[in-house]
Amino acid sequence: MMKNMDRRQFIQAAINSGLLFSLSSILPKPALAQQDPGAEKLLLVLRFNGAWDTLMAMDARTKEYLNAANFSTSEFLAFDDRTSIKQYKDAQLGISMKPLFEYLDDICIINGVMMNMKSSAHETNREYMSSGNLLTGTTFFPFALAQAIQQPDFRIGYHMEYETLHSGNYANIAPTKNLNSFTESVDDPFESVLDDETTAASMQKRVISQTRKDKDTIVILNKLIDMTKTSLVTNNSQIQQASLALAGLGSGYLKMAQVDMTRDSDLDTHFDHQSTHKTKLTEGFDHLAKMIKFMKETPYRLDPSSQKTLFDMITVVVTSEFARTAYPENELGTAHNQYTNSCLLFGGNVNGGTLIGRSHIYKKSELSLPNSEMTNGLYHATPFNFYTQKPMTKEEHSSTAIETFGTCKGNKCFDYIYPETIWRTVAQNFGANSVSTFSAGPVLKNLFK
Amino acid sequence: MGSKSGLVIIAIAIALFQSKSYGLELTPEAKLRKISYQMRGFPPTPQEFAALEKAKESASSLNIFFRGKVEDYYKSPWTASKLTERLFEDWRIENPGTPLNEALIDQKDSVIHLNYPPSSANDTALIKVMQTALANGDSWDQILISNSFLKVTEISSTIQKIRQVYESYGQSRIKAFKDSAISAGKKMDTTEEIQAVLDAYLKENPLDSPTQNSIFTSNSPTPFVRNSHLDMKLTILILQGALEFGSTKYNDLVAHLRQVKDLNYYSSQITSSQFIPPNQTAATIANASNKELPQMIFSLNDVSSRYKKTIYSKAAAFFRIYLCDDMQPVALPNGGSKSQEAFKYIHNPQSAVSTSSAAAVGDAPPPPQSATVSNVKPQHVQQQCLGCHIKLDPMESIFNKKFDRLSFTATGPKQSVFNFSYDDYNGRTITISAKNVDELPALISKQPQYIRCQSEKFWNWLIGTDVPLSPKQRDELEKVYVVNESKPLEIIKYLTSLKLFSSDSFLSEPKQFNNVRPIFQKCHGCHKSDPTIPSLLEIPFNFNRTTQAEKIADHSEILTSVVKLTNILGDQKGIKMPTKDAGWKISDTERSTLIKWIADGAKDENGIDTITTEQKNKILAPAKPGIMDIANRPSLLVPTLRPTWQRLLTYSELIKTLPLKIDSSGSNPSTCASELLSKKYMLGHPDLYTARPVSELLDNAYRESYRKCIVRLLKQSQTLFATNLPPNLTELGVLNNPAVPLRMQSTGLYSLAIQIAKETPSENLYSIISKLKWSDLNEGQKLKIVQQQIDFVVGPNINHIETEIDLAKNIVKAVDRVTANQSKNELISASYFSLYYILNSNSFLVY
Repeated sequence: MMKNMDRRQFIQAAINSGLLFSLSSILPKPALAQQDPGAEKLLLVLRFNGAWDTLMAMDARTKEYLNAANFSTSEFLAFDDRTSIKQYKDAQLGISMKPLFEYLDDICIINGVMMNMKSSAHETNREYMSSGNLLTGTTFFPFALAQAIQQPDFRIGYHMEYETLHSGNYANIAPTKNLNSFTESVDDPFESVLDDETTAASMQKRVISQTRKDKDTIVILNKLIDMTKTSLVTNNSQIQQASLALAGLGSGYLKMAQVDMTRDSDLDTHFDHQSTHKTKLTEGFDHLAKMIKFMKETPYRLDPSSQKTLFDMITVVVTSEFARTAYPENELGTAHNQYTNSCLLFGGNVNGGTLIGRSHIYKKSELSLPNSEMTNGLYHATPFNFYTQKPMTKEEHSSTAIETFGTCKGNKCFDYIYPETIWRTVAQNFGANSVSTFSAGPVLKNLFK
Repeated sequence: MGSKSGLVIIAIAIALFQSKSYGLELTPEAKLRKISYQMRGFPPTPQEFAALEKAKESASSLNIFFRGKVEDYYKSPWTASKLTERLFEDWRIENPGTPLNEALIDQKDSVIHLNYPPSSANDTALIKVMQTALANGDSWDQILISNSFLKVTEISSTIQKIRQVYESYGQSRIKAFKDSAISAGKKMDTTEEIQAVLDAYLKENPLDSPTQNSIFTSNSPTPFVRNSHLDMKLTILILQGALEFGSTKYNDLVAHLRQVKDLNYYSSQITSSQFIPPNQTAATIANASNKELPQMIFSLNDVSSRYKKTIYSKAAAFFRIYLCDDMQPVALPNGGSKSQEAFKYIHNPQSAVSTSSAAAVGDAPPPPQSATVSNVKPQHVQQQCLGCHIKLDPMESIFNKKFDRLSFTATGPKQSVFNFSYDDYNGRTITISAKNVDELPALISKQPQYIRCQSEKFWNWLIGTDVPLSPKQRDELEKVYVVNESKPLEIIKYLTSLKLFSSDSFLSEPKQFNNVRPIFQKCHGCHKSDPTIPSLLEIPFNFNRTTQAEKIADHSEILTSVVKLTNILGDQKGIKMPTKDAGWKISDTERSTLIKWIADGAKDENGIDTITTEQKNKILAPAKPGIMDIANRPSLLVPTLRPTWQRLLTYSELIKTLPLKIDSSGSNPSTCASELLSKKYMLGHPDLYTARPVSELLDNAYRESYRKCIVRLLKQSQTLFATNLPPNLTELGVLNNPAVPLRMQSTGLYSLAIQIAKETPSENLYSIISKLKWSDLNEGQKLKIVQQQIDFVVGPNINHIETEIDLAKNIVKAVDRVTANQSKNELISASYFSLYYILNSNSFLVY
């Protein structure tokens, strides 16, 4: 009998039973904004493109340490700027970190992050460090995270076009001046036509209601942009994008954003380390300090009754593709060092005042390396004991069989901190157990409160 | 009870969905719409639908009609533009979308269609090239291989250069030469006559010595423009006046220059201020020729500048574009995990005991040893890397011009052998030897993998990436490609005539090996250089066996371990393959496809089971509850922004279609083009690095841009409705004013207007219509208006699923509801409500 059902009856039956897959795929997903715990968390990824010199910032060494390693100052450092100016827990901080000294209790520093050993290419490692995805090229962590927490409709800022994901075309960064016009009318005189249950209607209706909600948000956004212009003064258009992202997130217009704070040419100082690197890195960190201050002072959505400041709401992850070599590449510059890296996190739920991980610089005499291999032979991430959540000790090292390295069994869990380790931890904090860009594995238990 | 009947309905619905009889068959109208969108990127005109109605009389006349349409459309510059759009995506280069921006609606003859921008000066080189190539009837191979497209621009600049020196240095002396020959009683018309005069001249003035020639030095008559003696055919053409404006010989000159291999070099020689004797030295050519390695599409600036990130970028793109080899970078550790490799490298445990001084530096692990470091460094000697580098390295030398093309000896150029390797369809590495590197392009175009790759591109574009090519179908397609000398028109004609173009029957068929092959292709990327692992691209899977019995014995065993290692039947834990570091994971869709394929008997490419029921049950036994349900779900037919069987209108199609469907002509015509173009990245345009659309389906972002655009167009159109209608509109006015039909048809008021004009010829039509209320109309009239709009916007006889639940009736209901509010009850605004609804429906957005 059923075989006699005609096409129309069949489709009607299928619709009734919720089975019309071709339609269901374009039906709206249920709005979860209120129920979802991740919705209350905002993410900002700031990237220092060009590869930062961690020795100048969050992972410095003292002159004494270096002398003990039998490096003459000129041979090892090449530049006086690369020695520490402050002891901080088990680490030393360098000159570019200075603007952030005031906020060390708010910041979590991760040192000793192992990058892609097989590649010293900027873009490969940049994507890896800012997404946890090792090999497949351009990925975008906020996008993957939004998918993972079932919020594919989150508005994500990318190169600060306040829309959804932009292309992965890095040469094409949207000029800042175009971003301040959020005045477009949301009126839709035709709206009520779609006030029914058909497929054509429901998705469109939802978009409209979202846009209507955005109307107030856009007012706040524009206010916040004006505020950042006075509180976060900078002439650097790259850095301005970070302020815009902050305004976008702080107004609730964006849920996540990613911004490149520097250009490759700013920090990739193969030939002009001394003259350029410190200036550019410090300028960026100076802006981070201003951002922290601003975030702490500003209530979320500028709502004075709000219990939460931007600092409470927004998790900021600061990355760069890898560290630079300790040993100079030539007398003026430093090379890529994909054997260690660092990362800064603050805001949101981040456990401020924490130092995670460690790196190690070998004595020159310990290495039977020709000078040509010195550049990247010296300065490496130290493996991490994920059971104790501390860097691996010498004793642990000598008692660990290489086959067990990288696996967790019982109370033994030794591995490097990789970019995916950090992002896995961030994703968990956002309520995602599994993100498509990396596999399951150990996390940093002290990173978040 | 309710839930029970629900289950019954679900079960029946699944059964019906799987049954072949419910495959979607396009109506001729829907097929015409699909062809039109596929080829030109915008819908057919109402007149075309009318012509189709006539052609529907018989099957054969219908076939003739469609073939004719394909041929017609092929001539349209929009087809070239659409094909270029596909190339932009395939080559992963930025599509500037300039002609879309300037598309003009032509309302002549009351047939509304889109005119290609007359001022196509802004077209990219690639669009121009494609238009010229299609107009010339060039083959696909010519476009990809011979660089003929580049010649178009090169030829005109060469002629310009020669003309420049001709006018500055040659014209008067050449004229004097001609005059003196004619006055000496010689004829100078035909090629032979001129040749004879030239031979006589050269006998007296040999050109082998720089001291004896007078080409540059004297004012005496000469037949040559600088070094044009290097090409006597050119000299003859010049003497025949080919360089004069409006000359009849101009086309011959173009045809002649078309034969020249390297026009840049050619024109530099011809116009050189240095005298070059005809028997030029080997060194001169060698120097120049070394740079002339065949660059193919990479000679285009757009393409070349896109692929310069690493020295291998062009080579990798070459394999992807020409041979459909993805060249995904893979870096597998030699043994153990990524962590173990890094650990070994940096903290070699062997040296742990010997380095006692480590404590002095800190609580740190021992340092690396030089030997370990140097073992890791040379990437290309590693087996896994060789898989790609064996292919990449020779090509890299071509694209980076590191290869010495010719070496010269006393007797002339010596052949220089060039070897290159590629992977064929079955993953085997084929090495080809070219006697001379110039043969490379021609050799590539003859490789079976090239033919397979290029013909498959047309398949994906026209039929869809979600429709698997069966081996038989593939053979036929390749045959069509070869027999028709890769002429795109013939390939398109063939593909649009296939049943698969207008029927989705493939969806209900069991999965075959070609459905899962792309998944195994990814495994192959890493494992190809490991001889202990069987190739997963040939079925039955086997360890290099010779007899079929042995192969089949291996097959089930290998399949079992594939299932175990990938743990597709389990949960997310315990997955061994692909490894953590592999850079990809088996997606949910891939997973269910694999399971379904096995459940269907792991059919080979011919649809024959490769495992017995017993084997199948054994392999699938570990499946967790619920897993098999996923596999048994009916196949999906989801309209996407990718080239699939059923597609959503892309940004470029919207830009072209909307002005045809919403009248917004006025003093400041708006098309939404610039907004949509600036949003193209979220309107299905592929990411240039991954080549995957940013979003494959209609998402909120897409909807939002689209909504803003149509709201603006509709508002504008509604405002202009009154002002744009001619005053004292009569029936004649309705019919004859070209702008009126568009306005009246998109609002569905055309018939009504005619009727009113007939009844009250003296009244102003607008004043009558504007006074009418939606609620004044009866159901039949309302339905007629909406139906007229649907016919105009989407075309008649639409057959998307949504049609089946009565688009028109739904719209009437919705408009009834809205117009219940008296302030919204006017007929004109009601018709815009209805139009808005149609433009938001899948009937419009999906083709």
